[in-house]
Amino acid sequence: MTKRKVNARKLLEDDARIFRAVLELSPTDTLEMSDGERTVSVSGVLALMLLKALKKYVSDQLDVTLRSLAAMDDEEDDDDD
Amino acid sequence: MERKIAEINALLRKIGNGELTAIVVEAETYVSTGDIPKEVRSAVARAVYGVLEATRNELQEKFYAEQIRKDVEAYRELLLLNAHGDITISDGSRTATVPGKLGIDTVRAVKGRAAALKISAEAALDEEGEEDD
Repeated sequence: MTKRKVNARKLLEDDARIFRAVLELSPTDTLEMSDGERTVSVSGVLALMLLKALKKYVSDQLDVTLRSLAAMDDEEDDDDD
Repeated sequence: MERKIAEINALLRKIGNGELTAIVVEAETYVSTGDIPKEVRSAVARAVYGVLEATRNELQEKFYAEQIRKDVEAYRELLLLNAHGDITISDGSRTATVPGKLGIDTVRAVKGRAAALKISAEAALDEEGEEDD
């Protein structure tokens, strides 16, 4: 596998790890989001709704990432053949 | 305010169950319900129930309006999040950090939802205002 492909694979694997960490967040009474300078805390039904929206987005992104990784695996198998 | 509403609901249940036993004014028992006819007792219970119910409803409206205002404020704060750096998200026990471009895209997704919710909440607040007029 070329160095470029190795790096590309690593980036995809890192992305998948991040997405999975977000998907492990539990439905909660209080959700905090921070950009490093500003921290916003939301509670109650709003926290649940925003977490749901966030997880939906991240889940879709994880699917795309896993498909890309699978495609890379297929390419490698073809190269080996 | 939530506790006050719960206390009134508990009182309403007791009166509804026929558990009104006395009327106390300034720490003095004015009338013990054993002293008055059942029909009068029922009338008093109904009157007290009506007043309490109206108070409870008023408190509930204020509570919901306050909740909506808090939510609108939270949406505004969310929309101000800067999407140029790492974003951390926490549920109180777990924290996930989404760096760089992923963070930007994630914040955009949340902001989109927050903006839509803000519009609904502000519309609900406007309706509350119109009903009071």
